Amino acid sequence: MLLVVFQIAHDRFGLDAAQVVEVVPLVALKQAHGAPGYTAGLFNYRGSVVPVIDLTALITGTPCPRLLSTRIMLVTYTDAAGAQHVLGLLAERVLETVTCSPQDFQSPGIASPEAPYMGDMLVDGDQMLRRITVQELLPPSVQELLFAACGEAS
Amino acid sequence: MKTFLNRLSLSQRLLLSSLAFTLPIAVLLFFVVTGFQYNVSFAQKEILGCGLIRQLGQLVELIPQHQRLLAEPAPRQAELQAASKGIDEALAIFLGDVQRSGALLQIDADSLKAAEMGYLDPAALAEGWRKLKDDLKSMEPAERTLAHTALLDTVQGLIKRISEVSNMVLDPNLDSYYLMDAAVSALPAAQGRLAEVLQQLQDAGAGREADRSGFLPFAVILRDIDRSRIKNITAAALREDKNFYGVSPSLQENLPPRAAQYESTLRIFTNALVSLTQNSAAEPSKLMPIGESAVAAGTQLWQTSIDELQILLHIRIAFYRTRLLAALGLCLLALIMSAACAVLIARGITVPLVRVMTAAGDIAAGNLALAREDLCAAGMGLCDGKQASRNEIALLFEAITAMIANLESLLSQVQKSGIQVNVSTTQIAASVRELQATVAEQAASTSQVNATSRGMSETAGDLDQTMGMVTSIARDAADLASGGMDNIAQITDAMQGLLDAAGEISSTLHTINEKTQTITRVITTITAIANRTNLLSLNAAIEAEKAGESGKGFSVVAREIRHLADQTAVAALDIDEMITAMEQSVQQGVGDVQTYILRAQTGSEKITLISRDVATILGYTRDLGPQCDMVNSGMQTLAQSSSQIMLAMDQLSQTAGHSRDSITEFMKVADQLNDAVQSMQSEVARFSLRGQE
Repeated sequence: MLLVVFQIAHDRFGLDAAQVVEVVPLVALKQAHGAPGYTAGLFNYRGSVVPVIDLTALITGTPCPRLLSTRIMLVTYTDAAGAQHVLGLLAERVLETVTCSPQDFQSPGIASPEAPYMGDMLVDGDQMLRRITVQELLPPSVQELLFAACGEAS
Repeated sequence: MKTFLNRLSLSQRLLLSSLAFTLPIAVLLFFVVTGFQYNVSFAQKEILGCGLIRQLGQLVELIPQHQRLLAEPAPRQAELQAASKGIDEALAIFLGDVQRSGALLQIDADSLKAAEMGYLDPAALAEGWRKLKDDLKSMEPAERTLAHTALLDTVQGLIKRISEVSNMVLDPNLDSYYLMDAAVSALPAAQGRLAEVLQQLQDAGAGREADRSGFLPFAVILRDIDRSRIKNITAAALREDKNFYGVSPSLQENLPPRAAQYESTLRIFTNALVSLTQNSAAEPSKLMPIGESAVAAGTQLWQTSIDELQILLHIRIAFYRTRLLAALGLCLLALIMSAACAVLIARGITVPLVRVMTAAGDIAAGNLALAREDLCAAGMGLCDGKQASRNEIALLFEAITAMIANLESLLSQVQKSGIQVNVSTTQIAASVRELQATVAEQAASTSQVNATSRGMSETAGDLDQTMGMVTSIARDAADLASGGMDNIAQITDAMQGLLDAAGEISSTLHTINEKTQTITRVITTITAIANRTNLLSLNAAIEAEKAGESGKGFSVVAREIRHLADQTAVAALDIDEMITAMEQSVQQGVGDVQTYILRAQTGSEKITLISRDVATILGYTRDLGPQCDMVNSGMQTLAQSSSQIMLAMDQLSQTAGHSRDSITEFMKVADQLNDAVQSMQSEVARFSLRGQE
């Protein structure tokens, strides 16, 4: 399997490439008023409005720095009702991929009920990265908020 | 003994001496009382004896009468019964008296036996009479006569015995002695004889003719001895009565008639008896009534004399009792008087002494006026001008009053002196304080002057040094300035050359800056391309992954593209960094060169100015040298002078310190003096004088 690797603060994280629709450069985002603080904004992806979550803000609480390597990963997100949506995830240093097999993952041994999206750990050479489970990223209330807004907009 | 006396108070001592006198008085009183009591009991014993003898006297009359009545040819039963009854009564009374006082008078059975007179036992007498009475009928006349005689003998013996043991024979007074003599000796004998005569007369009348001449001795004895004796005795008793405890009226009244009657009856009887012996025809029985009347008169006289004797004895007892009471009363009175005397004397001494003690206490407490009042209240006549009694207490009061007066005058003198001294010390203290303040001010001024002169001296020294330095610096400056003038001209030239070179460098740097900006634009483009390439390869890899097995080869291509893009980006980044660094250096170099040019220009101008100034300074410094020397010498002089002033001031300050110390010492002494005077005044103030009340 292939993981798209990115960086939050100084830690490396990975997303399953199968869920990634496309990686796009950082564009100007529309402000999404009323959304949670970690929502970076809304942007037009091939004619449809896509909400963008700032992963750095979600995990660390500070907004992601706007660098050249700061990109938006578009992923498919299945909400509670089973409808599929495209969701943008903003992260730093989205520059490379890692090929691995599912057996390589190890449990970190620390439960994190506050952050259910934190997946298992992968040792990649002398570095480690942690998988993000996209489906767990948004709590139901935020799902409703974001995708209701998008649906209305579309 | 002396210490014991010292422990006692004055009144206790007086009491003790009174007791010492009381003791012998009490002993004497005891003896006196015992003596009176002895006399009284003596008389009382006599009275008891009289009582007994009175009953015995009855018996002496009644027993012969009984005998005679029995001996009559036809006994008169009534008279016999009366006589028997009279004997019974007299015996009963007698035995009762013996029962009460027999032991006292030593006539009970035991005492009589002890005195070898057991035959006189009153009980035996009673027994004999009872026997006689019981066996009257069965007895022969001779036996009866014997029994009667025995009874009479016993009665006579008892009379004698009682007269002895009841002190009657020892009676000390003549009147009572004569009466006693009549009662216990003369009358019993006379009555006994009369009874005997009557018995014989009865016998003669009964026909037993006897020798009539036998009556003559009886008559003679009765007439010449008994009658005259009794007559003399009664006369003597009456005569002596007035000499002992006064005249007894009952004695003077009762005794003479009885005595006269007895004498007359007895004389008639004796005359008849004498005539009987001479006249044989006379009937003896006719004499019997005369004899009986003589016996009755005798008995009456006897009873009267006993009664009168008892009265006399009572008078005597009353007399002694009165004497005893008088003696006791006198002793008691004397004791009371002596005790009162002791108490009065003690009070006379202790009360004034207590006053004196109170006054002394007041003097000790300092209250002289109160002490004087106490003494006046003692009332010894010292305060109201009366002449006091000249005893020791009064003298003591005078001495203490004089002492108080002297003490008062002394104290008032001391008080006055103390006040004067106090005023003086206060003045001294004030003066000394003023002096001290002045000295302190002087010391402060001196210190100030000292400090000022010290400061001046130091300043002068500093100035001196500074002037020296200024002089030398001025000289050096003059030398340097003259040398610097030449150098400055050379510097000006060199500066101009440097300015020109800097201008050239600046223009070159501008050119470099423009070139590097061009390079930067190119690198940005390269970077953007690399970034784009990377993005492309990333999406390509994702797509290849999605394509699965068919996309595998494409994914390898995508990875290679991405590597290439990464390398390009890295190279571009390196160049960019180098260009940026170079650009910064050039920019800095341009800034530096421009700053340098500006400074060089300024420096050139300044050097020109300095050159001018140095020329001026050169001129001044050349003039400055000699003036500085003058200032220098003046300063030195000033420094020396101020040192001298300082020394002088130090000495002055020391002197002022000494005088201040002296004044402090003096003040301390003055304070001590003041304290002493005040303590003395307070001591004196304890004594409140009369004038200050």
